[in-house]
Amino acid sequence: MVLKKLFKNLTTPVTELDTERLRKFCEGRPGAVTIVDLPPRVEGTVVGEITSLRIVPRAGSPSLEATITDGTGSLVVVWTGRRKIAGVTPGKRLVVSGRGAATGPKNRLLIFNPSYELL
Amino acid sequence: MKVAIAGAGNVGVYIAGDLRDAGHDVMVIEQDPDLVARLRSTLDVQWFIADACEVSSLHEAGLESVDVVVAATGDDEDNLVISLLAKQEFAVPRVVARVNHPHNQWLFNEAWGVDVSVSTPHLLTALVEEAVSVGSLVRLLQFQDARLVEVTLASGSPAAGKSVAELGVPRDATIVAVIRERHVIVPRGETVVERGDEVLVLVTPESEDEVKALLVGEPQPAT
Repeated sequence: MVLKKLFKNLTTPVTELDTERLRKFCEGRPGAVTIVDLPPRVEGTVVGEITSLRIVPRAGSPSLEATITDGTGSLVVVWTGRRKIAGVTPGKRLVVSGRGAATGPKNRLLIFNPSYELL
Repeated sequence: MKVAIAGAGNVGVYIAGDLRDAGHDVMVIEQDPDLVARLRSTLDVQWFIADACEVSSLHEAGLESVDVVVAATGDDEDNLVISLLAKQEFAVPRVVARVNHPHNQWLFNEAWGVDVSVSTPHLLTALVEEAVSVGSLVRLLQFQDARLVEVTLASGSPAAGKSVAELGVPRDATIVAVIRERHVIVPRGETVVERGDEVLVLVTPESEDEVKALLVGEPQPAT
């Protein structure tokens, strides 16, 4: 049994193992749903890890966009009027609550100025 | 479609009636109870007496299930607040806002959650320009990322006598229709545009100048 697990750990790609670990971490939070289960325009709480950060001009003013994933899916969190927020860096895990809007051609979930908690 | 209209002034009431007749599910949010009492009998839509600038009342109105919000109050500040709340708090897919004072037009953009802004004075200028101008580029409609422009080809236009393929319209622009002698011609590559044609082009702000150069040519000295 131990050997089987070791064999599995050694043969599965690292990214897959990471995703698995992240999913386990995020699932354990009370009150939170997985990102893939969060429908657009419904208020909800998700847990995830910041995979990337961008500063995007929105109609002339900067906004900070963080892509967050929990292993099931990803969404974009937008803080308008900000270039940086202390603690919000790639790799950080956080809890985000808000209402997402499906935007763009791929219908990506986008949450504006949510309440968030760094983990 | 579910539409919420904020403000039961002349504009709001008219839009509400029009949309209801078109078969949409319309709700009007107005804070003056006397006005609502008076209008309720004449206009058969859902009425909601509340301040549309208040998040809690918008919650009660059920804005999270609305497809379109129209901010049609007579106050630009209110319209901006309503737009911002609708977009950021309730993720409304389409937010349309009325611009009362043309000087405030520049504020009605994505940053305030406005998808489409409607400014009556600007609309009127565009229509007047369209009627009187030959050989200049007139902006007819503004969309989120694109605008519809119109050029009536003057005799000096570099485009006159060329086919659409020869014109070489830039990538981010497309000729959507040519109107000739009150007929609409769907442009193909071999369609030749002539003097006096009204050419309707969909452009992005970036490609607009290039299209202008193609259809209008170099700026002519004023006569």
